[in-house]
Amino acid sequence: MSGPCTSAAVRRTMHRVFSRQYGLTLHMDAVAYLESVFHGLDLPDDEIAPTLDLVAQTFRRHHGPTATVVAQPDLALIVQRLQNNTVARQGADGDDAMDETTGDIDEVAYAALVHIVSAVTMPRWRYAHDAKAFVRDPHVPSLLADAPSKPRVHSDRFDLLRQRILRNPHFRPAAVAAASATGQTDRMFSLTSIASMRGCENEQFILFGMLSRLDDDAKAFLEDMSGVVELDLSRATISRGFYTETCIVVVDGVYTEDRVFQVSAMAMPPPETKEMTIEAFGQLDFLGAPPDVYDEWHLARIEKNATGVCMMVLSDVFLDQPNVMSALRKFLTACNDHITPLVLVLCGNFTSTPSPPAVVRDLFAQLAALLSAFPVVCAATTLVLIPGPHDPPGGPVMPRMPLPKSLTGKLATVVSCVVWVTAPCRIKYCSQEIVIVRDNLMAKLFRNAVAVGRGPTGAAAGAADEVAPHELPYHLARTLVDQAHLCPLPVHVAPVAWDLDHALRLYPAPDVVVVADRAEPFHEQYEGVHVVNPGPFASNGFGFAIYEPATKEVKLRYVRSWWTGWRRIERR
Amino acid sequence: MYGDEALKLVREAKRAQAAAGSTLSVYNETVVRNVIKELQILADEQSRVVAVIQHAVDEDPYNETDDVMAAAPAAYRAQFLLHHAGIERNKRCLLAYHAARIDKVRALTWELGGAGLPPDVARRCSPAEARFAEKYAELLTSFKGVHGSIDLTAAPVPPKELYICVRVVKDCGEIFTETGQSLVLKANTQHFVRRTDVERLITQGYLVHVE
Repeated sequence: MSGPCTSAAVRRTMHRVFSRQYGLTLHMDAVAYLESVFHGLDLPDDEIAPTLDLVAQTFRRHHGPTATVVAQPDLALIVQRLQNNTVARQGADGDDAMDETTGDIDEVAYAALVHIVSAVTMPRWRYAHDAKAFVRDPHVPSLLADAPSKPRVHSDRFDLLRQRILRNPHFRPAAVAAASATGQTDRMFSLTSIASMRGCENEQFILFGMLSRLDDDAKAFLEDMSGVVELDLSRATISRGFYTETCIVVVDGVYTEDRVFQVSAMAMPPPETKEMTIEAFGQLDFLGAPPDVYDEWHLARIEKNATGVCMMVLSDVFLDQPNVMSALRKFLTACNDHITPLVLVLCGNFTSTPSPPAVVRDLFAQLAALLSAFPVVCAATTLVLIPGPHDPPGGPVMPRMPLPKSLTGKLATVVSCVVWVTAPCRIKYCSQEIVIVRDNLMAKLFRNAVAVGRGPTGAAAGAADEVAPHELPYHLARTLVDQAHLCPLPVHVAPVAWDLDHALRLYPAPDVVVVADRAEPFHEQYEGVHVVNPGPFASNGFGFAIYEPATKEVKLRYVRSWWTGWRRIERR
Repeated sequence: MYGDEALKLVREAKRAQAAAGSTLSVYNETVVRNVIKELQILADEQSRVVAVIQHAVDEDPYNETDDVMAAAPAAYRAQFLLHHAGIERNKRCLLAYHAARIDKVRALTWELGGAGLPPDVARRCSPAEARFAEKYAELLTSFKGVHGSIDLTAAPVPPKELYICVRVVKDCGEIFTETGQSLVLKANTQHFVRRTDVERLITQGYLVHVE
């Protein structure tokens, strides 16, 4: 213990820096903690104030301007982060050659960089059109939401996409369109609301709204905040994608005298890259992941250098089928001996047919027994369990609630880190966001499409009413990214928990969307977003997907000898 | 008409100045973007006019001067100058609007003692303004640090009494005070404490001042 005199000096400095300069109030336990930290550091007197200043400044940055009371746990995180930074900076300054090699990076505990965010804990942001900003909904989301929440699902989706399209350089409000009708502005479009189109028959408009069928299944309608109009899609050129009911679209056409909008072209709203969203709303936390113990620049460096890190996704792991279990054994042996994934995601369904809870519990006990033979995997891998449509607690409502621990708890005794999450869930790793959803989206979207776009070439062919099977993944990827939503379907087709609809958003655009689907495996890249389907493990020759964050590469592999040709990767 | 949009911004800035208070209106991104678009259109138009003038001057067999503008036909010259005036004016209007807002942000930061803008105000800022506010608050805080024990953002009028009576609304736990003593602030208790120790807690709604 340092003498009472120096301790009092440190306390005085603490008060001067934290309270007088930064206007913060310290808890007594925070004071004691800082004292112990400074006692351990043994700094010279003239460095105490600058160090405290750095701590206070970092606190301000993390906790925002309204935070007043400083508690010990907040400070512990900040001090750890600052120490990590100092170590990294010394590494970078000391030896530049070492910087690029593994020496520096091996110190990182990768498992701590993985944050798995469940749908229920995501913050609820809603774009307020009048305030021109995202506003956080203070209410705690409920599975049994009140009635106003239901229409809000659609109005929120609409507002989100409207602000995105209005920031697109090709679209602009009507005021300038009129002022600058000089001829060279044909690349710019202005959107008209449905209500203001009334009375202007035989004129051309571009509308932005939600596709719907109202009560008439044969006709398509377009709804926006101001009204509704019937669409005639018979002569429309439709760009690629699945245009389902509740899809938000841009249509170009003429308002005819019989009050039908004769559509000449229909398209998805233009997408926006993650970078553009961050530039516009940089300070917002859409994900709600806990703060990392490293700063952004440091994380970016770790991410780039960690070439050994990979994540694997298996879908439809039928634990009740003996051949699946033997394939799993083969897979885990390779994981144990060759490449150990940082995150191993197992998606349901976990049984080939819906089974009673007792059977499910037995099957997970078998899985635990299988895993216990692979100590490396058990120690180094984060196991993520995502329920399928048939798994308990069941039900078609998205987001699907996690598997009950009472049935799968055995795993926790074997694997060091098991996470039970909702479907969809999000994985945050360094700067990347990976969304994983287990749902048969391809079939749902295709079956419920009002129209399927074929692009300009397909429209020219005219007769080709069917979409080539190899193009379906592109349609799916485009629909998800352009709609910025995992389930652009009406609630009677694909029910959504109204209060949790924000958890299905893909805004800002994630890096990877894993759509674990019953359909054929695929990998598409659209606007910088990887859309991957690992395919059903049980019925697709034991195929699965691998993602490497360092190179942003997605690989689809089969259990049979997938690791050959891969170098052995050393990772702590 | 050219310049109408820009005038909207100036009017808005003027209104905000007249309103004189600590409120900041919502950043009018739509109009700002319209003005920038208009600037782009005018600039395109300008380069088109310049090309036409250049062409006319090059073709003129009697032209002997190097000064393209002096040799240009009068009609083109007038068009060029008009567009140029439009560009200059739009630019000034944009700058005036942003300068007025930034002044307000600065004033607010001083008022709040360098703590940064509260979320409801920050929401009304553009992302660039929010960044400015953040950095300015940091700058002000470090400036306060240079002056040691003098609080530059304290009220210029001295308070009537050093000790005040407060009632705790939200639990704050055991806090650290200027004298080095601890102070336990439990909800629904009443204390007679030094004003400087609890000023921030009162503004944040943890405590209420009891007269």
